[in-house]
Amino acid sequence: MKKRIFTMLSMLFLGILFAGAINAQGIKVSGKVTDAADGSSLVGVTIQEKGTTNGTITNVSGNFSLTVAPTATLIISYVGYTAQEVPVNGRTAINVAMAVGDLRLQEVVVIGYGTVKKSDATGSVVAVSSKDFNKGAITSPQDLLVGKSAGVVITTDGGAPGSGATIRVRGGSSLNASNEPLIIIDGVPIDNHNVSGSSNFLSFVNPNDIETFTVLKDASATAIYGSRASNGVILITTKKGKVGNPMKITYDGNTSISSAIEFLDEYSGDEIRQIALDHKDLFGVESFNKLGTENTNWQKEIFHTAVSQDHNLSVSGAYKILPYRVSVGYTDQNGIMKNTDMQRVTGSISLDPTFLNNDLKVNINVKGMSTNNNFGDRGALGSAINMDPTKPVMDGNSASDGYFQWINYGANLGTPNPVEQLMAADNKSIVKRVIGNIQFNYKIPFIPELHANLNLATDYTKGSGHNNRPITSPSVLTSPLWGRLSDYNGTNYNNLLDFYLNYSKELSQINSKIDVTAGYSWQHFKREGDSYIRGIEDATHPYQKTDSSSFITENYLVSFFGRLNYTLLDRYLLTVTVRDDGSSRFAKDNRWGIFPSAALAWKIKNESFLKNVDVVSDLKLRLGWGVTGQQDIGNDYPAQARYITSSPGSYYPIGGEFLPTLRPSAYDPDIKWEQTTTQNLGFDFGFLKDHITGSFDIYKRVTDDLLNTVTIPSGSNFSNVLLTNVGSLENRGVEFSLNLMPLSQKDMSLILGFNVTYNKNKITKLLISDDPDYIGILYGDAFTGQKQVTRVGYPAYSYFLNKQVYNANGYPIEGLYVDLSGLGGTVNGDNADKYIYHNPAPDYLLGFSARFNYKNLDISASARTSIGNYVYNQVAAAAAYDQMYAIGYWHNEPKYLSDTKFVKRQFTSDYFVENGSFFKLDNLSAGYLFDNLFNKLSARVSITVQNLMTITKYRGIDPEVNGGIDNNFYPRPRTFMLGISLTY
Amino acid sequence: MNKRNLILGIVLSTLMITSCVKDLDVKPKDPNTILAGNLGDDPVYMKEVLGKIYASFMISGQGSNGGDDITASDGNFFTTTRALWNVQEITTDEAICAWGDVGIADLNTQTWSANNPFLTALYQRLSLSITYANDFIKFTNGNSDPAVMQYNAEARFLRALAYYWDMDLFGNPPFTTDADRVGKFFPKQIERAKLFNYVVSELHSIEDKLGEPKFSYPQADQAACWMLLARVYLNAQVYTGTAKWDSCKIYCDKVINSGQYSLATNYRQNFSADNDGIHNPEMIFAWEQDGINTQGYVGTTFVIESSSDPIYIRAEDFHGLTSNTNWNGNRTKKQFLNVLVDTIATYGNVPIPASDPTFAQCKDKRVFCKTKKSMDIPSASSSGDYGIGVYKFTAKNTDGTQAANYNPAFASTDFPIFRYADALLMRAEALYRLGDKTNAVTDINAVRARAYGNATGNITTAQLNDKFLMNERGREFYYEAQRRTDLVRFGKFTDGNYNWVWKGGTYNGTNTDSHLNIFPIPGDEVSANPNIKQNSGY
Repeated sequence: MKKRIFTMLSMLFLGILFAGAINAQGIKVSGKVTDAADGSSLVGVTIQEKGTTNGTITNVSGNFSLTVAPTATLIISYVGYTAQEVPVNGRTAINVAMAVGDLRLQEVVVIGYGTVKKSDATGSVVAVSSKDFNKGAITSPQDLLVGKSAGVVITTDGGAPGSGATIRVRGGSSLNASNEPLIIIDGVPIDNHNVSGSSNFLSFVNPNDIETFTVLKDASATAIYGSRASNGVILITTKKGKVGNPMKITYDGNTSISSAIEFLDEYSGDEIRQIALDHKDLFGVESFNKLGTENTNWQKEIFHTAVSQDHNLSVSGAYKILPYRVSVGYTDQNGIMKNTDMQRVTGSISLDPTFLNNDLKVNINVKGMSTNNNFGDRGALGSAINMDPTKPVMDGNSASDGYFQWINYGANLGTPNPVEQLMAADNKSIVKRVIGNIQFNYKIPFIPELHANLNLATDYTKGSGHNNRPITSPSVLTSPLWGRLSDYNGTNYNNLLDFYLNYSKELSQINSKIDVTAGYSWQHFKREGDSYIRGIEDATHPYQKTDSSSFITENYLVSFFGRLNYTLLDRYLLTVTVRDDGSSRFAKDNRWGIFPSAALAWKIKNESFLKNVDVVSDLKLRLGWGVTGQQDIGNDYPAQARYITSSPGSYYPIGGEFLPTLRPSAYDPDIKWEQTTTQNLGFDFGFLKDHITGSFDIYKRVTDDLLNTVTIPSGSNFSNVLLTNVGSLENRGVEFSLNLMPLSQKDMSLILGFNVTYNKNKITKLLISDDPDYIGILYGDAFTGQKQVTRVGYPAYSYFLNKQVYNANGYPIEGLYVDLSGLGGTVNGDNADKYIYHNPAPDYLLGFSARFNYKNLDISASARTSIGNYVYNQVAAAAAYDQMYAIGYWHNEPKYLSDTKFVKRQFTSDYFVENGSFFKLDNLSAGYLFDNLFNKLSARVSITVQNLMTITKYRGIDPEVNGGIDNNFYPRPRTFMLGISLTY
Repeated sequence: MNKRNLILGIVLSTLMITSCVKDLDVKPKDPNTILAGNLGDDPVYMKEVLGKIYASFMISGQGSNGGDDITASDGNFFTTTRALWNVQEITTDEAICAWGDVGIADLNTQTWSANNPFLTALYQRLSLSITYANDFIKFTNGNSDPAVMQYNAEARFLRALAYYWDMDLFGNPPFTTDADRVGKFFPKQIERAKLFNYVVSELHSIEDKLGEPKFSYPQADQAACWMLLARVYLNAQVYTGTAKWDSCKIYCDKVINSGQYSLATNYRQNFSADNDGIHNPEMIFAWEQDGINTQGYVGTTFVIESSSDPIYIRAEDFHGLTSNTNWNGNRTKKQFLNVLVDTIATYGNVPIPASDPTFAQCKDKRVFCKTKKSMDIPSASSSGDYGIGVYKFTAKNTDGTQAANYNPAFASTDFPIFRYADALLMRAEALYRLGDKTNAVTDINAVRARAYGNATGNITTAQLNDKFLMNERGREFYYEAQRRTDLVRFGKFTDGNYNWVWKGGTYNGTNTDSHLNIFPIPGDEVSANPNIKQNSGY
């Protein structure tokens, strides 16, 4: 199969190869190219003799000279300017003034293996450039894009320094396979697995280095990436130097202050003492002896106001024909939880030289990062909520370095002192990453329409760290109990080779243009790591536990791809792509998958009936269809029969000797690609000279052969579940984006952006056999119950709970639920009596942005609204009176308990599912530019507030909860930032 | 020139592409991984694969290397022996659990459904042990090495043992053997009586292929095989409708007459860290647990910790465990205390005096209980402070010293499956049913003499009846995961007018429906396998 495709693609190319033109002898023409607006010289302008490969570029003074036929015509072109054709007519001196072109028509967007003029794009493609990014103290690239693009939902993992984010393009098309989009940085698809010790796989990119994000959403745009494209593709392009630009030095720096927005409402020490009195029949009088006299607010004890800083320096420009950009960045971010911080140094070099008369273009990109993370102990968040407020922070307890601690620890016992838990944690890592690539774009001399591209890339990440606790430090539910030494290391490797040919030709006889790309890609991902945990031994703490493990895992992807763009009459556009992907994850017979796509676009504006209608400045209809795949399933060997050895502590004696055991792993020899078929209908429009622009898309995505971990018949394989191809799901959605420019005067402008995303996810099949009574895949744990389900006919991860019965005053009656099955017996927690009640995904997401400029003053804001996302408030569900005093130890509980008055926890009550719809004013920023301060120095000073305001009915701290179960995540802080940007 | 270069380039790239396509045939490089094709490379692999079948009954999985064997909401909760203990004990008069975890309340009150996570996990894990055994048996069938063929017989024993529990608990499980493949298919269901025949024929077939008694503790030997046959025959009437008391007696005789086993002088040794078959003459077959090498919050560690609490029975004091202790879940009920302690003989016709919380005055030295806050358990989900605590299992040695391979979190006490006392009491029951009360009493008195330290606890043939036998098994084997099977055999588990607190969900207990004598097939399984029919009544 793969041979056939390759042959097909080669034939296509050989078929269109034909002889190039022949150079003619002639006269030497010289001249200067200038900007028509201000007369300044333009450097790097391409001068080409029409119909030949003969050409040159202007030098630093804007001058050129070229030997051409006396009757030749020169084509003069420059990015951003309208190209001109100048007949030589025997002249030897020709000066040209170039005018800035129509920017929108010139706008080029990056697509897979190439670029396309935005006006010619046939797929659903959105580009967000640096001027539209979110402002503020932003340390990870994902944050720049939050709320900026319809169909792209980014949920940050919380407020921890350097934390990552979950990105979903048009909902998730997979269940157990990855739902992350493919991220490609300067042509390198990156490994989205975090290395040990890293919490954000994108943190190596300094947000200040990013020029644009291009999001490919529908299959006709993404299918050229075949098997990795089902969840969208995000192309990140970093800033580059430009030919002809003088050296520019830029410094960006900021200082920010972050603090927690609100704390969970909890009982004070006095209130706990009152509750003890009120409930003495429940807790017993002996419980009084265990109460302390303090009023400690443990949440306040673990948080503080954090000051962070960020410095970036970049130098860009061009040295002769070598455009360059070099940057370094330093970030020192402190978390609002004590003892959590991150220091990061980033560096990037980008060189874009050209050789051989512009025939060979080379791009070299190197990015490096070194990050020191201090993770602290997140467990302190939960401990701060549960720690008894009647106790002091310090009591001189010598066993625990002066901190108050309960005497004993165990599964149901004392909360560890949250301050000690946090401050004594030595949980640090160092992560280093280098990613580099070199791209060659060679214009084949005798076929000027043909370009050969080669891209070689390597991506290396190393993380190492430790998570230690001193022997004075207890911990709950971990072994060993006192003190721990834990080391880990991880390394990720990712190597890439892409080669493709691009042929582009105007066929003026038939008013057509063709653009054909065909290529080959090879990528290798390898990850390895190890960990070692042991207790600290001393006289009072004898041998506790040792645990060690290691892994090596790798996979290869080999692909052939091709694309044909055909344009007729500059009105009708056709794009056809095909990719043949081979993955080492699957067995030989299932290894190859073919992923085709087709798209049609109709530039209605160019039709005669609209051409002269001034009100409509742009109108384009897009239709797309495509099939994409998925193979990112975590396990690199799901089809191979393997045995895995056990680690120490899990041995068994055979022949009188403790030996590790060998366990056969569950495997599916027939596992294959998951396939998503997308249909997309879209419009791009512009009115009133593009003062109003936007686009509208409607789509349906159907995923079949879902890579799904399902319960399998007992006795059929080596586990109770198996990752296999079972089931189908669909996503339907609508996206709308609108950009308005109500003011566009020279000194004053206002730009408003607005986008809406609607997505509905539905499972359509789940089992190998079809059982209409199948309850679905349940999620939850033994301690807090099964609360979510993925079931046919409903959205994935819907809440699955008992229906609460309420008293006359509207309060829930403890343990009383509607007997939905009618079978009687135990209703509480019984799956037969549960029902599906909402789900975590929002129905609608709205993004708003505004940018106002008045002379040197600029103000910008961005905001988001999420409608219809429901949150299970597990913090509230965990509150019960019997938890307050258990086995001799007092605990605090959130004040939700005053409403429920539950004596025992009721985790499966639908009472705890709350509407999490919200409006968030994410950031507000104002800046002032002081230009020509000294010499050419200009300075922009700005102030920004992030996470300014949230409006929601949700009773927890923050309704924006990844996955829908609110269980004490690191709160997102409010941040005030003062920034300065100097340009020389 | 240029064209030649281009053609050369195309040829070179074709070669390069071909070699890169070969990269797709990747083999795991992880040193912790062995491909199925390499199992024959090192003889130790045979021991390690066999070891896995044993370990699958006790611990959760491969540790940090490979994680748990099954996907469940908690690794330790849902291990075979721990789940077996729960479904055999807290469903009966012997124990009740205070925890609020999903499924526990249903077991406490005999109101379980097909979605009970303990039943689901136990069912899946027993099948998994069978699948591991099938794989190993298939691989080693016909091996020329006699040592490997003995491992093959051990795997068949373990498979038969898993099928025995399947038969006892779920009645009609899916049936696979080494003739089945591994992949995606729907195993057929087997009826309980047919499974009985299969288990018996397998055990007969391997009887002579297993090692001699005590050849290498804790591996299964001939005595383990005889004990399992005796146990299966003991319950034959429940499984097939036809009693097999004579066969039960034959295999008890084989164990007793082998001369390899005797009662431990001290009853408690069976539940202490030195209870293994090397130090303890009574232990015939047990699951290994070791503080260093075979760890987990499973098996005896679970029984000890879930029965300990920070006030009445502190694990630090009673058992020498100091890490992550005192889970305060399981206690026994006053109905069972009346089985265990002959209160009239001990205290006269008065309430048990508060001055003797540990029933020290009781002459039967098998009582390891302690009164907690109150003997009454006010609700089915009352805290573990209510009821009667049990500290029969311990992590200390019999003499109170620290265990070899001591670990503050994990007991080294093995979990007993077959003890010599069981051979005596099974034979006594068979003899009683066969009408030979005299010899039955001799066997019973051997066990009771050890319990009392002298003959004062001995009984006469006149005292021997059904109820006495049932209660004597309770006194001897409480907290050893046998009670439900015994109550079912004596007809007292559901509708036999023998009730205890919170049976059926009421304080005094009520009769429940007899369909509860076997557990439901898990709902997950019924959905996943169209060949499996639900047990009647569910």
